[in-house]
Parts: sequence; C-alpha cells; structure tokens
Amino acid sequence: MKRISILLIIFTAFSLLISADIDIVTTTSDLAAIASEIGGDKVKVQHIAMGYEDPHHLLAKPSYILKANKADIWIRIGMELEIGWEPNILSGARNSDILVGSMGFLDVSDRIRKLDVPLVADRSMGDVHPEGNPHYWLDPMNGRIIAEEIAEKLSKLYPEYADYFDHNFKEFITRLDIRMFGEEAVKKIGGKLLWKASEDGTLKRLLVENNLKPAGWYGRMLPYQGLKYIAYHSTWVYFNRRFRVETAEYIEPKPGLSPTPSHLASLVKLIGSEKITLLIQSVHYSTKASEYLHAKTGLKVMEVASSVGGKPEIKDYFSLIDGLVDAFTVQDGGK
Amino acid sequence: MEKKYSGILLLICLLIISNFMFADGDKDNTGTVQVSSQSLFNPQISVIGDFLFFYSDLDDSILEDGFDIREVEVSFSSNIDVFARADFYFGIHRESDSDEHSDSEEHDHSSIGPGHPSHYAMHLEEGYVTFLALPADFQLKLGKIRTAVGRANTKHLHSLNWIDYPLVVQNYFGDEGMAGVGGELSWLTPLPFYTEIKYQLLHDESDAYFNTGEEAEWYHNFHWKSFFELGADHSLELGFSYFLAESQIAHEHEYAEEAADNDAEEEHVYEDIVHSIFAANMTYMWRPAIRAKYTKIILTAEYYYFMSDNDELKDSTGLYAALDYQFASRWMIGARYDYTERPYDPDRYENHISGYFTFIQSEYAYLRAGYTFADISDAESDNRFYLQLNFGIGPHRAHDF
Repeated sequence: MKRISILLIIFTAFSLLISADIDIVTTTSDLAAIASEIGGDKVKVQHIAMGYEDPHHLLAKPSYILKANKADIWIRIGMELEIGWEPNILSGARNSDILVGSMGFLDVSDRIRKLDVPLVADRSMGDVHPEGNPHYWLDPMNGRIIAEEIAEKLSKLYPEYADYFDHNFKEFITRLDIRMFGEEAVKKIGGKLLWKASEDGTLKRLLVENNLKPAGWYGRMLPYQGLKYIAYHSTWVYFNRRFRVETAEYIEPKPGLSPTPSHLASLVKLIGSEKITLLIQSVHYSTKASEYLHAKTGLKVMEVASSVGGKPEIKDYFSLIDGLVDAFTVQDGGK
Repeated sequence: MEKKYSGILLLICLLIISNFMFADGDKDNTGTVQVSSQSLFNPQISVIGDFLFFYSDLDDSILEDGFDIREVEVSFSSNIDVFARADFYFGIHRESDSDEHSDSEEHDHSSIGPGHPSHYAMHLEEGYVTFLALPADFQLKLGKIRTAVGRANTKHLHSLNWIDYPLVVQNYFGDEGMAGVGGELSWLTPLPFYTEIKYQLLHDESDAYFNTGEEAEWYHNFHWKSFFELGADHSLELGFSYFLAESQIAHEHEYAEEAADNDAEEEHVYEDIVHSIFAANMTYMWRPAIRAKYTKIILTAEYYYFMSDNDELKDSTGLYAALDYQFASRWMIGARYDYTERPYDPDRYENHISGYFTFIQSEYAYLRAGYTFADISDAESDNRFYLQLNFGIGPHRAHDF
C-alpha cells in the first residue's frame, strides 16, 4: 500500500510537470481574451486591469506584483496606456523574464498604425499620449495584428507548440474576418484582400464587383458611415477610422479632464446645431454629464464596454466589437 | 548655495539641457516624430514643486507666517541595464536657522550665504540602485533609502494625503522623515497573498531622535508588509517593523562636572544606548473598480513604541489615524488625529487634530487647505492654517498605492 502511495505521488508530480501551463499575464482583459484564443489549453492567462476598469487610472496594487512574479510572458498594450502602474508592478516583480526588453516581454503596439500622434506633447493639451492614442484594440484589424504578435511570441518561446499556436491563430483570424465581412465574402475573396480594401477605401467596390452584399460588422455599420456622435473620451478613434463614423466632440474638454459647465453648455449648442442624436461612453465614466446632455437635448446615451468584461455579456473579443456595433445599430432599431 | 552641491546642480542643468536638445526630433512623411536615438537613453526627469502658505495664532509656532517654497524635488530615473535601475531624488529647500549655524564655518562669504533670504540648499533625499531580480525572489537596493518604519515614512511628502508627515514621524525622525545610506534586501515570499519582508542596514542621514549628530549611526530595520485584496473594491495592507539602532548619548550631570574642570574638547562623555522601535501600520482602502476615478475612502493608522536598554530612559509611544474621502473626481476631504509623546519623555506629549480639503486640479497638480489644532502638554495650544500648492512637471508619474 505504501509503495502504491509513493508511486501515485510521483506520477501526480510528473503529470503536473508535463502539463505545466505557460503563465501569461496581460495588462488588459482584451489582450487576455486574444492570448487565450491563441494559447488554448497550453496557457494560463491572467490580466491586471478588469474590463470595467479605466486602464488610465489603475493603482499598482501589490497583489498585481504577485501575478507578475510568476509570469512567463507579460503582454502590454503600450503607447503609455499603462505608464501609471506598469513600471511599479514590473520593478517589484523580481522576474527578469518579463522585464522590458526581455524575451518574455511583449508590447503588441509595435506594428500598429498609430493615430493621434501629437507633434508636440505638452500637459496643457491634457493627458495626451506622446506615442499616440493607445485604444487601438477597438479596431478589429488591430485585433488581427495583436493575435499575430502573440502567436509569434508564443511560437518563438515554445517552438514545440508552434504548430498548435499557428493553427489557433489561423482559426481566430478566420472567425474575425467572417465576423467583420461575412462568410461569403471571406470565402470568395479572402480575408487579407478584404482588409486591404478596407484600408484603401475600396471595399464597397470590391464587394459590388464580386456580386456580394455587405455583411458582418462592416455591413451593419455601412448605413452609419459619416454619422457624427458625442463621446466621453478619445476612446474610439480607431473604431471610427475602421467604420467611418466620426466623434464630433468629447465630454472631456481635454483628455483626462472632467467636464466643466461651460464645456457642457457648448456641447448642448453643438448637439443642436449638428443634430447629433447619439452619445457613446465607456462604462467606467460617470454618467452625470451625459444624463445632463440627454435631459437638455434628448440625445440617446449608450454605455458600452471598451474592454472584454466591461459588461457581463462581453465575454470575448468578438462580443466586444459586437457590443460597439450594437451601440450604433440597435439604438435606432437598425437601418 | 553650498560648494559641494554646485557640481550636482551643474550636472542637473546639463542633463535637462541635453534632454531638450535631443528630444527635438524631425517629422517624417507619416507625421510621426522621429526622436533622436540618443534621447531614448536620457533618464526620466521630473520636477515637483511644493508651495506653502502658513499662518498660526502663536508668534513662535513651528513655521513663520507667510508664503514659502517649501520644497522643489528634482528626480532622475532610468534603467541602468536589464538587471538594474537607478532612481535619484534631490530636494531643494530653504535652509533653516540651525542648518545655517552649523554650516557657518564652511561658508564661502563671497557667495549668497546663510542668513540671506534667498538661500536654498540642495540635498539628496533618496538615491539608490535597485537590482531588480536576484535569485529566489530577492531584490537589493543600495544607496540612500527611506527607512521602512511604518508606512508614512516610506513616502515622499508630495504623495501623502496630508500637508505634512504624521507628528510621530516628525518628532522622532525629523521634518522630512528618516532615511539612511546603506543597503536593503527584500524578499517576496511564496505565500498565496502578497507578503514582502525587508531588512535594511543603513546609517542615519536625517534628524532621527537617536542621532547625536557626532557621526552617522548605523541601524538595522526589519519590515513585514502584507496586502490583501478583499474583492475588486476593497483592500487591506498590514505592516510591522522592528528597528534597532545604537548611539551614544551624553550624561548631562557628568557633562556638567567635566565642563567645570576641563577644556571644551574634553567635555564629551557618552554612554552607548541601544534604541529599538516596534511599529505597526494598517491601511484600508475602498475604491470601486468600475469608477475608480471618482471616489475612494482610505483609512490609515500607525502605532509606534519606542524603547531603549537604558533603565533611566522611559519608553514612549506615538500614533496617528487618518480618514480620507474622495467624494468627486476633483475633490477630497480628510482628517488626521496625532498623539505623540516626546522621545523617552512620556510626560510631555502632543495631541493634534487636523482637517484637510483638497482640490485636485488634474493628475499633475492639487491645491490643499489644512487646519491643525495642536494641543501641547508643556506649551501653549496652537491653531495652524495651511494652504498648499503641489504640482509636477515632466513624465507621467506612476501612481503610488
């Protein structure tokens, strides 16, 4: 009996070693969602900021240091989104594998086409990010780039699973392409060409040439191209560029600044003159100012998740983009 | 300005100038600013200004009535390489009368000197190298480091929610708290909740109560810090410190007898004393994760017990408790109660009750009004009024927890 027990213990310990997970810690829940898709059952993914938290205003809780201490890979959005808390976590983690520049460190912003890069960065402009607006994960095209970066890093560090990660990556981007353009278009034209056409502004023509109807997120957002709306913070610039909608003005007078009465008064005028009917804001902002604008002008206020987990129903990257598209299309019953 | 600091000032000026020179980049055809590669290696430079208006109804209160630049802090931070980083914090502030007298012999009379109304001194508040990831989850700091006794003493003045350090820190460790030169070894324990244990071996470079001023005193300090996340919105930090220092204290009666018979040079008669401190600190924070920018409550308390191995010296205690409430994104109120006995003299004590009202202009600047009622056992009570403006320029600072 004693021998059997010892053998069992050895077997269990050996099994644990064999099935050891790759510990990934990401700064945001969106990165965690994509990393889980790529890493599958080979990884254990944790994230620092919750989807309903404002990543600009996180405090570096010591408990985050504990997560980072055990990580094999640290993935961040970059562009100084995490500058208020990431340095404290990494310098306290005592983990040389994930320090900036180490093999286990990954900044997925490297290949992103950056928007709102200020020519001059000055605090009088508000809380600007000198490297550009960091909310790029809200463009599904950038979701593709993030997935590619993660797949490459995982394959490089764990070549024994490279085929598995590559398979997951391809499956992920196929699903993403279909959600974006519809299954028929992806099958007939291919995701790469469709994204290229979306970048060039030739997508509509390409679909017509192939006798295809606009579908997916693109198809749902097409009737809203050119729509102007109010936003709380400059969160949606990448989403706007992809779907060709426009933020007319922000509730924040400058990035990071709380609204002032005079700024709200100017917004009331603008909403009236431009006939704006929609306001979109993340769940982590106060609704006080938007309720005021709703009361004064009647515009529809849509509180949305800007990260996975921002609302209970936003469980993955696909439902995150679904939720944003819904904010435009469902609010007036769709067109 | 003291001669010994002129080199440091020159270095700071050169670094700031080089930062601006190299930071000017060219714009390429994509609209992206191409920053010179050299500027990427510049350390991060920040300057924090702390201006203070003070009024008291006593003529001989702790500060003179009026407006003053209390401190300017200049900091430099950068990774040294993949294994270590360096942080330096220089404080520039007006020299006090006592500083002036002690420095008078070294003073160069050709420059603006002590006693001149615009005489400011610079000193190294903290400056250390951190070896970030030693084996077995250890970390080593070498340099000038704030002593990890309690919680408030480890913080820089501008990161506190109050206008000054708690009274126990001021009365026992000096106006700016206790810091020393030496080393700190810390260990992140494998416990399932965050627990860090620190050992510091430092020699005192502040006005701590055990420092006789003759030469820097070495001391040992152990600190245990645990942190518990109680759901997404609540957290609790607990800390315990045990501190040991040896110093020499003059016997007053022997001193007097010696003084009558000998020259001043031979009058110093000292006795070795071992001082020890037990400190416990607790911080509870409520900060709703979903809208953290708009509200939070912080309850902080610390207790200190001061002992020595000399039977003639009575043990003494000090404590404070503070409650701070951010009720809107830009507004915060707070209150602090301080009780502190004088070092080894529990019959002499001070009770302070303070209230604060803070307007947070932005992440980089705040304006704070404060009032303190000081009840002092052997002196007249004091009503003190403060108005503080604190601001920072330079890169975004990481938020202290």
